[in-house]
Amino acid sequence: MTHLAKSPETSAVPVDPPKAQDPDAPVNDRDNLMRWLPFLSTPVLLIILLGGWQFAVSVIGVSKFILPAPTDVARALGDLITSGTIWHDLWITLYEVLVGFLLALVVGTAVGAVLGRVLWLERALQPALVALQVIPKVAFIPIFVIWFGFGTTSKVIMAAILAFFPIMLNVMLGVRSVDRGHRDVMRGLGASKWATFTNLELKSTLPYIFAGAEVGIVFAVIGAIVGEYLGGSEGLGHLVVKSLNALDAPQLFAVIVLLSIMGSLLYAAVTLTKRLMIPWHDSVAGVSA
Amino acid sequence: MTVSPTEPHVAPDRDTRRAPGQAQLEVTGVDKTYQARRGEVHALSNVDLSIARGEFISLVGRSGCGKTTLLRILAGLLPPTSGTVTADGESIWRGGKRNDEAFEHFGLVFQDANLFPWYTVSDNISLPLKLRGVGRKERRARATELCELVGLPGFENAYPRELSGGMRQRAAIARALSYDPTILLMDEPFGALDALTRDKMNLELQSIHAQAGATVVFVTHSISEAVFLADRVVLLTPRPGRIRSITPVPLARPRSLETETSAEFQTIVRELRHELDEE
Repeated sequence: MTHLAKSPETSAVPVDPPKAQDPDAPVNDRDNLMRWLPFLSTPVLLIILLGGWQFAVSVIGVSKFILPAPTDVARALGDLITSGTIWHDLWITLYEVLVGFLLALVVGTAVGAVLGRVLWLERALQPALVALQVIPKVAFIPIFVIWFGFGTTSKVIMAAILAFFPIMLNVMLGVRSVDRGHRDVMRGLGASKWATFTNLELKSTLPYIFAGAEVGIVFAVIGAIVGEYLGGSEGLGHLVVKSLNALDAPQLFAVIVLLSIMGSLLYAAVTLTKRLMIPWHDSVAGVSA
Repeated sequence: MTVSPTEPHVAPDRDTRRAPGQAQLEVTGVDKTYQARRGEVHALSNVDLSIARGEFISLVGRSGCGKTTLLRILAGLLPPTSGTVTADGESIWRGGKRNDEAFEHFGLVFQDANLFPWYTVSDNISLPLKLRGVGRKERRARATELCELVGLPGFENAYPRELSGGMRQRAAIARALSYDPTILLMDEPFGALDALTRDKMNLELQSIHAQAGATVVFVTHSISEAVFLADRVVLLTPRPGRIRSITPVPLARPRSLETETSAEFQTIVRELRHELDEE
């Protein structure tokens, strides 16, 4: 989880300096330092974490069953990777996360766009939506297992349902947040509905879609893993449970490290896509004046 | 100085530009009422105004006098409750629907620049051309030309967030000018700018107006700004919004900042301010 927590805002890839400088903009000497700070602080934090961990094991003497030494975890990780069976589990989990996430992205964007535009429909469905949102969706996994079996389908659906809500809600907000002044510009120009959609509505909603997707991808990983915990025969989540049953603490930790890396990489992929698609947005372009 | 609203006076030196009996923009008996929560709000009452080709009109008045409402009706963003508005003889509203064809030659500048943050300055300026199906290369060339005109050379590839408020407003003006409008409607475009930038923008607007030869309707709450720019100043009073007076400004063009210190200029400003205080 440490990986997930640090990656969002802090690991900023340096962006190109603005091509044109506004002479009135305040000059910020700290910009450069701020840009590189995460690259310095992250290794330091990792060293402190690993150091503290090793210290707890070898000096304080915490039981190996409770907390295996970092070196043991590293060895278990190496064994997993060289044994080869891990790739299958990794692929299964990745497949569940990706398919679930993409499903949520497509359906969430569509439903969010419709509910954002059709006010009466949103009104009519609001109680149902709120109810669906507050229900602990993870509780439904056993039902999905009954309906869709122990295979990947039930996990895909779980991942999709968890990722759906943040995406749908963000898109709904985004569709409603189109600037009125911008709308006036398009109306003043007599723009067609299609031109208004491509030049204004879609462009102005994209940051919201990405905000939803950033949360959604994290939720999709959670959905897939919890699904595997409760009713699975393969995947990294299943491997966690298997390690637990075998009281193999080093392997348990090793799988969690793998999951964290996978989650971080998936999150990074979404963020990278965002950077490429909406370089103009404040959340990408950095601190705005 | 007070003139009956139904017989708008035109500055003498502009009379020659005006085709006899034919105005470019004709506002006749325009009424606007809003349904507000506390009942009906009478925003505009029986507004008659005739604007000649190439004329510069300033609309002034206190907040809530209906000047922005009038401009939004002229821009086709708000339908009048009753009355007609014609541009070049064509009605801009047809049975409550905006007649988009009549707006072909309209350019709008708002209080906020309203640039699209996802487009570069160049793409923002040439957006109206894009909507008209002009090719990419031609758009680019026109945008470069306009950046030069409004004093933003070299900023074609900058994003709006990299510009200051004044620069954004210039880009917005360039966008409105991109398709050579013959009618330019401006709603307090320099309201958010500091006094120095505002003076500069006013001078630039004057030269743009002279070069482009467009008809301009300019909303402002600054009387001196209105007088400085206009051929005629239209004073509106609130509750309900109606035209109180139309004052010709017979000052020679081009006007400079020195014009503002002239006795003639100050007399007009003083009289208008006096009129505004009389309400």
